[in-house]
Amino acid sequence: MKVRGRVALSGGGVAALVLLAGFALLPLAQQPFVTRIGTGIFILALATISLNLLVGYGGLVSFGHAAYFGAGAYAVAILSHYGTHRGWIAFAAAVGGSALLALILGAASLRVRGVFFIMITLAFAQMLYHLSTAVEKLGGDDGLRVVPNSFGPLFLGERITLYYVSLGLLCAGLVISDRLVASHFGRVLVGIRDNERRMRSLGYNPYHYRLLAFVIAGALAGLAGALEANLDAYASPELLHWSISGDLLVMLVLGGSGSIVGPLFGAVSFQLVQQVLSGFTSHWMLYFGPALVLIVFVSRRGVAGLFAGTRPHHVRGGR
Amino acid sequence: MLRVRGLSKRFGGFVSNADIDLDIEPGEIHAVIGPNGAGKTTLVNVIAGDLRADAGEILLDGHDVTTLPTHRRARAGMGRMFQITSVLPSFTALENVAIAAQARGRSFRFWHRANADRDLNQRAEMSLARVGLSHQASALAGEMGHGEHRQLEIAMALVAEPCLLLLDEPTSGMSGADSVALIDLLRTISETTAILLVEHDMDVVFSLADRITVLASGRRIACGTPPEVRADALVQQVYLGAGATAAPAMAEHA
Amino acid sequence: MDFGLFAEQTLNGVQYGIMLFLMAAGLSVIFGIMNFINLAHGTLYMIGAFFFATFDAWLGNFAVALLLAILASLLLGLVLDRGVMQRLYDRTHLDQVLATFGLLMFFNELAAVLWGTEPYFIPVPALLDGTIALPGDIDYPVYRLAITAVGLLVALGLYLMVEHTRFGMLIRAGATDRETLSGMGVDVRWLYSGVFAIGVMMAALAGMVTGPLVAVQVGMGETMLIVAFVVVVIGGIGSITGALVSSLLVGVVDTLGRALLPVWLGYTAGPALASMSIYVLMAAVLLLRPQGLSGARRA
Repeated sequence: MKVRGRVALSGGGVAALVLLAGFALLPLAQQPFVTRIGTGIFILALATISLNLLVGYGGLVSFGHAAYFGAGAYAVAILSHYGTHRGWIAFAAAVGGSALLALILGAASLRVRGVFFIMITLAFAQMLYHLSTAVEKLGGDDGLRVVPNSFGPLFLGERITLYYVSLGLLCAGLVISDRLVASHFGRVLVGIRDNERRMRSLGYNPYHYRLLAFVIAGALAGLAGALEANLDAYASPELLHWSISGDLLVMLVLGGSGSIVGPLFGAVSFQLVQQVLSGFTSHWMLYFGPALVLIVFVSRRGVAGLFAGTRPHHVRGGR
Repeated sequence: MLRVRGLSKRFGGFVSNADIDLDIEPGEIHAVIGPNGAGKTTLVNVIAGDLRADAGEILLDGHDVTTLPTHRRARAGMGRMFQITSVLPSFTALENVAIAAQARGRSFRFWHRANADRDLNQRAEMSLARVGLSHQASALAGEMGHGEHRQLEIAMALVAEPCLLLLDEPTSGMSGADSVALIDLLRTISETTAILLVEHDMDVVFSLADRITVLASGRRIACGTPPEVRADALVQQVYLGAGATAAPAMAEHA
Repeated sequence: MDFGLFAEQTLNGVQYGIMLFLMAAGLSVIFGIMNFINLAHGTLYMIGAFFFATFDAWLGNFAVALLLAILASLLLGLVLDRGVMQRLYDRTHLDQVLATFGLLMFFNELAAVLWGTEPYFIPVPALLDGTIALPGDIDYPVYRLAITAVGLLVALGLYLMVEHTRFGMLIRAGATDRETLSGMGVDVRWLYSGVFAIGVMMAALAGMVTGPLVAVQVGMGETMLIVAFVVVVIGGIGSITGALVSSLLVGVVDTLGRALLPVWLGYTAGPALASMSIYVLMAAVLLLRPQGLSGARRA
């Protein structure tokens, strides 16, 4: 890995390729349980990739990413509820709807910085959570059933099909975030993260770049949400719950925020830890919580520093 | 090039700039000097747009920029070098300058690698060459020395071809040899760009400036060519009266 | 909508607002002085309620149980500050968020282990049970009035402490300029401990006195925490008065919205809009006054 976590196909990049190749072969084991877990990991990794654009490269600590994830799922569910199961339409609605939502909420949230940004993103996501439980047409607390989407002959209700579609979209997400970060837009975003005042004096308006990053991240999270709705055959308020936002942040930082492949490793390790711990005890959070605190303590540069090793700088938490 | 009229800036009850007029002609190096707390840095910040003026107007190349935000003023042709070094530490020197060049073009491009943008890189290389930093093009800015940072900042400002360059103490913390090189560089730059220079070092001021504006307690007390300012009774009184470090330097040039 | 119901709901809103104030004041002062965001603040609201429920069940004495629960939460606050939080005050907000998210997971799970996932109900003490006749033909629960009064007394006490004691003077100095404090020879660590423990105590107190009105259960704190965040965003940081005004505003708007909007707009649109009302209020404040009602914003 090189400066700013770019994949130079060394270290992390190679490990990611090996991991993805392993995932591609995994269904050969013919274990339904394993394919389900795998699909869940791909979806969460995709959502974490989108959060990485904000936290890792934009320096924007959003604690409301469940909003866009859940909105994507609900877009699919609402269309399904009214009888539209065509994949292109449902996924376009999920991506477009989440992007629009991110535009609106981002425009308001980005007016403040630091702890206020964290609180406001959390509050807006909670608003959607309450809204989903209060609206009867959305099924209230129970949520909505989803008939899985079809893309021509590809039916996402088929376990293996959904597995490979999710894996494919995860790979696409990795490539997109890699190109985006290295693009003209991406380096302005990173520049604003590193030195906002300097970027202003060069002629950049930080608000525009941050808002656009917010919209792109929202769209990607919406895509992940659409997949989740197909996996669960359901969209429920749980997908909008603040704890999802927290989990996504934990995965991001465990894997290494501000690194392209970090979200993949974060999602995989978080799910593995969760599966292993919950094999021993139903109260796995009793151990994971303090572990998280310890990890933050042990690494002076934050959790990202612990895992990312040689990167010349780490993401700042928006102080 | 720059025309400032009746500019005032207060912080609570403290008046930092009061009714200041300032004119900078094309190709001119205009120095602003004054004792500590005279309001020099505030003036630069108000002109650059980091602070909003309480009263007065600022015209850049005939256009009113008084209420424009910083980034719009930068796009209108204001280049900037901060008092405290301000670069992008996680980018290479070349990338720093390329990002500065990119500010004038389209940045909403999402797919092609910006590093492979030949046009931007070429302009950045030329600018680096101009400040004598070509050999460090691929060094990380965060790992460069202080003198090199100052050069890099000038390269970043120059690449956008500004019509006015705001320099806040460009030679501070520089070794003697480095500042001599920098002074030479500024002199060449001034052939194409007007420069507003805030500086403590009187050697630099008197060897570079075409005209000097003197501030004291937020007010303009003098403005003129170096010999005029040197001869000004009020200026001498302010500097000698304050017992400031600048007084000997002032006398030396008198 | 008759006047009686309107007045009753307004009183309920004020009571809710006062509880929000107990949460938000602690959050706001902790932000202001330590530049620290604590996601576990709501969990302490829940822990307070569980402490109280347990002591009350053991002792059968409302007042003694309340006193013990207050002391226990102060102690917990001090231990948390010394054991965990002090290491986080100079870290990035992202680190603070992650560590306190870990604490939140831990405490919620611990509460589930110790107290189970079934809701607890705390009986209202006999002295405060029943209703009182208010002008306008309203029978209003005495207990709600009592806890509103308690909350107002705490707000007054907090105000007096901040404005008129040496500790309060240090808090005000710390909120504007942290460096001066160490210059004045103040042991900043103890100041931080005091501020943090008092913040925890107020959040826990809100949980305790709300206990008899609601089901005490795991997860009750986070809902409250997020609304307290809304209060802080609307109120701005640095003034107790700002936090109080904002808390009451949010409490009344939320409560009246839930009571009135379904009546006005029907049972489809009403609840939907009511669930959004305080967030829309927050968005409006962000657009018109990003610095919040009280004006000072440093973050």
